[in-house]
Amino acid sequence: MARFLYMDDRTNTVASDAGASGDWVTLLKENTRTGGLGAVALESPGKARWQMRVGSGVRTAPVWREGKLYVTSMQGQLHAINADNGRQEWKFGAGAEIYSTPSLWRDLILFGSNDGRVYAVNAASGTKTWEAKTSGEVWASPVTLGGVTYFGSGDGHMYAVEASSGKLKWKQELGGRIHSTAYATEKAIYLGCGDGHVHRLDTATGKNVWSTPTGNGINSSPALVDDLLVIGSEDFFVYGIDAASGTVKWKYETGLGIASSPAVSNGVAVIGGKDGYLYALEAAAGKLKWKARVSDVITAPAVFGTGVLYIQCWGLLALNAADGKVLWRAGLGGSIQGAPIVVGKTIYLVSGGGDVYALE
Amino acid sequence: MDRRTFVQRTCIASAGLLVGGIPALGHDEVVLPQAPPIDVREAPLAKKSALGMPGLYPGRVVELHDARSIVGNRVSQPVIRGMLEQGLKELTGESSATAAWQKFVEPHDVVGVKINPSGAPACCSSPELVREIIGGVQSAGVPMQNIIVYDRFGDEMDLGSYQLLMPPGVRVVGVQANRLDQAGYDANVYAQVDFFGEWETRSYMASVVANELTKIINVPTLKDHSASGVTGCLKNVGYGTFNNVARSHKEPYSFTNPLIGVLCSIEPLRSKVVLNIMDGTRMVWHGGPLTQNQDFIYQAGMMLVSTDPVAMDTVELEILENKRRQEGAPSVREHKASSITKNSREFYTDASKNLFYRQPGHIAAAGKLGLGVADLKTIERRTVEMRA
Repeated sequence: MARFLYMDDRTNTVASDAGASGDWVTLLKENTRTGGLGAVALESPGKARWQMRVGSGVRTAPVWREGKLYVTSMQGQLHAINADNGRQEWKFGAGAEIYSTPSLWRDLILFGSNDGRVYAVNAASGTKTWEAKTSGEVWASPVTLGGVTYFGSGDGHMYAVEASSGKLKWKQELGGRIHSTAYATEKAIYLGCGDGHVHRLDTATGKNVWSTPTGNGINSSPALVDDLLVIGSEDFFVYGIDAASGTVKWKYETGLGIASSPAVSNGVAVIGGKDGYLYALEAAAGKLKWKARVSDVITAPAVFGTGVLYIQCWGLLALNAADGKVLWRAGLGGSIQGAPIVVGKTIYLVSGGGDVYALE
Repeated sequence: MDRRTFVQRTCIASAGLLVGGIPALGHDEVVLPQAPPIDVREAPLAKKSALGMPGLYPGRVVELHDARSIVGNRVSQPVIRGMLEQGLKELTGESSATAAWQKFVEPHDVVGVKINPSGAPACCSSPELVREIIGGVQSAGVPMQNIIVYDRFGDEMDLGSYQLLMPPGVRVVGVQANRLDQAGYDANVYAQVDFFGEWETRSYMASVVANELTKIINVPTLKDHSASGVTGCLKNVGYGTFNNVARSHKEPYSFTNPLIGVLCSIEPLRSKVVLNIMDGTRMVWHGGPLTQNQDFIYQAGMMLVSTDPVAMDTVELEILENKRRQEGAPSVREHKASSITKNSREFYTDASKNLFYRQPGHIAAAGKLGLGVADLKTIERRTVEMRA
């Protein structure tokens, strides 16, 4: 079984694996949105090795570690699934629906819930190690850097807690709900906010360093490419923002709002729009390389493989990363926030309806 | 004490169908089946509210126009604010928007804002308008935690990003997390009718409406509907509050008339809907309710304000029919066999095709149920052209 191979040195992430001590700096671990895994070019899957159901609905992407898939569901459950045979090893119940894609830190699975809590669950036993409480829904995926976990809440605050205990280090009030998963570096926390601003906070104190306005709320989770922050807004634009100053370097107009998050590889940022297009932009200049209409609506993040791009909309599509041509499609149920996990020659996929597939 | 009643609305329902359902037969016109009787179990309020449908101003509709409200498909919240304030003042005769809001909600109320997310993201209740409504409700003293933005379908609300775009503190509720989820409905408040031999013949009221909200602000969109002719006030709040309603239309037939009006008449829904604010920034003149095809979405820059859902839907129908005529599309009242298609792709790209024989007669039927004024000639239509 492949493990933790992929790292693109242009993505500014800290080289590490997703296992014992690796940092998890943004949604699905890093800029490529791979969930910590190397993805290779694949042909269309021919069969399902197994499939199972985790309940009535899933609004998140799965993550994978050491032969286990972790999936959160609208029934408020975190499921640990044996990736070899599709059997559920354990499940953990949160207090309400879950819109938060889980993240991994050491032996913990971290996620937020509509009950306002972030949970840290032991990966081996499925028992709760700690929980941190907020006053609003937590849809963002917790990110962890240097032993500190960062997440935003629907109560309008950004939180930093100790990753090992959940003890509060700081919290910072912003102007709107926070669903955007932060990008964490040693000095800065970057995120979008329902108040329409992209914010940079000081990692150590949470103090606001700069706030850059866009024309509407921000669902999108930023990617950091060298010294440039790439993020989409509900105002129809994709932004390239100088990470040091908050100055808008470029913006690219799409046809409708953006809830998807950019995936970045080799200097190219790919992001989906609610207009159904997938846009590939040169991250440095915001210049369009290609765009491809793949659905009526895209809200999920794209995932980069080697030369291949995966996107879940009303099914799973694989596109040539160079030109956006569709390589294959697998229509196994729609998904709003899903993203596939590719391990060796297996694609793990979760549909919006709650079906989990291992495709070969 | 059980104060619930069990009422058969057979006669009213049938009358509704006859009033609005079947036009004079012409060439290629088909005869449509008559709707079966509908039984209702409801939970009337202890004290009937004077604010309930048709509300404080029966037959009065304020229609506001401002081209600046939507530019390049983006809605301007400041312009929307001006339209809403003007609309409320015009409707109520009050000199301030806050005074107008105080006619409809009180500080102790739990206020539901019934949005229309079906059709998101291309056409749905604009978050910009919903935010302004929340601000207005707050201005009347209702605390943020007593404001609930709701619809039946959480997945459609997700596509509209409503949760993110509402202010912190406001609750955003999708009654159903998915299409099969029935947990959010009250088993004691329902309409029962067998249209096509379906297995489940009841439609239950959402618990949040039956048991939690005390007032509802209805925020429909200006949109046609393949089965009911229009998606307006009545359909938004009726079909958006009860479950299992899509069974009322099975291609090519639709019994949305009279079901829509009957659902709206069921207590406590009827008494709780106190104000309707129609988002007409975008107008879907064909392909509703779900189309994403921008060819049929006109940036109309309008807003309608009324307490009377029947009067507002009557005006909406007139506006949509005018637009369809202008675009060369047939009337939504047309019942020609040649216009029916089973090919949804054809429906979504050809304005002369439809999936059902549309039934806009539900508006007149709702008027017969006492929910408002359905006669365009007697409706007091106040048109306001906004200026910079």
